[in-house]
Amino acid sequence: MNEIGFLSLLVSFFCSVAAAVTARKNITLARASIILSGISSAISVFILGFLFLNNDYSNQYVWQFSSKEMDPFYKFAAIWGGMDGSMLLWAAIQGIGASIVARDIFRFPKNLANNTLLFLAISNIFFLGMTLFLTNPFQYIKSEIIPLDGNGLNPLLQNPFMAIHPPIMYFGLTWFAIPASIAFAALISPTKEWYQYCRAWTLLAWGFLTAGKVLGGYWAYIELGWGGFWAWDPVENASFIPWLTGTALLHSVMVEERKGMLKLWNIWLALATYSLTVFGTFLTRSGVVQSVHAFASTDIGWVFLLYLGLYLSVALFFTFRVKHTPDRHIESFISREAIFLLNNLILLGIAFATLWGVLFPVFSEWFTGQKQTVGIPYFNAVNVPLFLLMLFFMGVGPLVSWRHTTLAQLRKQFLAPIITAFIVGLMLVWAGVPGFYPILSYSLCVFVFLTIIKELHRRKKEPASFLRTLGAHTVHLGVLLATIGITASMAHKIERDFVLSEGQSYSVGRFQFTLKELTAVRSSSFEELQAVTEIVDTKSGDIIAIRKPASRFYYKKKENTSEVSILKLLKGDVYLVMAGLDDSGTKAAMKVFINPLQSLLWIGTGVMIFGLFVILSQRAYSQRT
Amino acid sequence: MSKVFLALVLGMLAIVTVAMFLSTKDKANAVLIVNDLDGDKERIRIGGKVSNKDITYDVEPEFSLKFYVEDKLTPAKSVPVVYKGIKPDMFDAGREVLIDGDFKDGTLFATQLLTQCPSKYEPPE
Repeated sequence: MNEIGFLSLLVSFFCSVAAAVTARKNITLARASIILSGISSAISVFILGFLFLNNDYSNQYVWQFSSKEMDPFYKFAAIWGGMDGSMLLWAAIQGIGASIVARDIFRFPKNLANNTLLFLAISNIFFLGMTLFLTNPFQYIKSEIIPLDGNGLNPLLQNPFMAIHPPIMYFGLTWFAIPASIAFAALISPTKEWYQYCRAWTLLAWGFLTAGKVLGGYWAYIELGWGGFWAWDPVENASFIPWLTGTALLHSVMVEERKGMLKLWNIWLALATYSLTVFGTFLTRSGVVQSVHAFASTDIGWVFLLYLGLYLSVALFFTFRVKHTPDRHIESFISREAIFLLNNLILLGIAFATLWGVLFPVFSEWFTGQKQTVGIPYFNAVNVPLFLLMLFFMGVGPLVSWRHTTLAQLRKQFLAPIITAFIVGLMLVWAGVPGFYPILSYSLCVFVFLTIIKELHRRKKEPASFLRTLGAHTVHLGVLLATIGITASMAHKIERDFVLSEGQSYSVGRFQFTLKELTAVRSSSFEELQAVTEIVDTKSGDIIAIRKPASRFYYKKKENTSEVSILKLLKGDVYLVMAGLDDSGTKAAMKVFINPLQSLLWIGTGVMIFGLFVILSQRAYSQRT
Repeated sequence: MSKVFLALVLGMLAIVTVAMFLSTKDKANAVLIVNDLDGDKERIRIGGKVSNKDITYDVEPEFSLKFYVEDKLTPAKSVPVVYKGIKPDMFDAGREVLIDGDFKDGTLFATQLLTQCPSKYEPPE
């Protein structure tokens, strides 16, 4: 089977090469090759999955990341448990995306079609080539005897959210190759309204990336026992930066659509977003920066840089060589296009500051000889104010119309929302909510919410585009919910450590925790010590819940993990960690986090994805008719 | 358009750059390796391996984890570490860790201790 998997990968690679060679001469042939390449790479993923499900330890990769006692679901998920398989999956998901574009390629104008196929093929070739020549997962184990059992997957990764998080991320990250390929094609042969061929793809990729990032955060939250969901780790930032530029792209193509402006800007945003996804892959696999995720310093990183350098140099060359029709001028700074542009710049500012933070160890070593690193305080200090500024303009956007709004009109539109937001802010101060940024954040959310309602009310009269507007504003409502969740859980988090013997209690805020008993539980793959804890609401005296956070020991990997228990209440989460026993073995060391309104982040993301579906369904509808 | 636009881009860049430099000034940690630790130094980051020497973990009167850290490639010397907090998941002898903290009188006082994920993206042996 190893050979078949490898062969299918090889076929996929050469099909993409064939597509690149024929793209500019024979579209039909190139189209067929791209589709075949996508199918073939998907087949090799399934063959690897088959090897995993069959416990075929003659394969080095399968042996390394799987073992017999694992659940079939996790055996399959182990495909992307390591570098080789994750590269294969990356290449395959990109290949499938390219196939779907190729299927509809005849809808494209001819010049755009052949260059789009060319750049899709180039992207495919790069990732398939990497997988094939540098990280081939179809290798025989380097041992005379085939082992009876595998090495096993890291227990932390054996969680349903972790299992589905990487593929969803890859759909998001790799599908940004599609807008980039179309943008590159439009750069070489200027096409009017090129963005209409890639807007749906940009939205899809953005949606997957959003969902993937939040799923990853949710996994970290429920699995890692530190009570948080985001730590500005290089790996998180590596996909956050393209998310930011992708968000900017989604908005600025609307300016091009409405006003015929920002054409080159949009093309370059699409190229930059794709390049940043590739750069992120480089960061996480080169060992250039240190991270919680122990990415070893493999040599493959530099190949990514070489590819990026070439890709962007060619793009730069065509930017200066090809004559584009000049943009139309911006007429007024009190116009929607100006606000969009401003928010584009803020998003890029956040992306730039984040990238700077990630690469700070590299730069500081270059300039001062001493490697330095920045962490959470830096990212929060720079990005929080920028984000709040963006939130403000997110509210201003709907208040101003395209082209021009007079100051008088603006004042009229502005007054009610801004006064209400101000009053809410004052009330929060009066209620004793601490901190300037949190209060500003809540007030801005109220302001944006009111402007969205105003806009929806006004747009009701245009039924043709109402659903699309509704979808877009639903995404924004999701952003507001998530913002409130993030603000509250970060700013008003309570964290306490305590030690309890059986029967003892500890109070935090209005909650009282009583350790009822310590019980040992054994299973085939682990044993765990559960701290059966009763949670009482001291105000009403009711027992809210009995929870069993545990400290778990996996036999096979000889690893300790803590199994947290999270009580989700409307007002927030009560997050309990059992951190082990004291030396006498009778007292449980525990940790509790109280994260106000934490669930709003997850709910808000759901609302964002729902809004995206509404927009996409409208696009599909308008394309059919 | 293009001039105003350029001014906006540069303005944004300037604001962000100033904010970045102001923020990095007092928030950066120097990245060192264990073998280079010599003399008191505040705000450092050490990447290393948990030594096989004794590890003690107390929960009373406060959480306190004491262990030794050494360089992962050339373990020439090991340095005692004190971390007042809960022992992180997967913490064990031989595990790679990232430590942020202050080095004082020969001991590293950790403010943050992170255990690195073991299996993700390790190169094949």
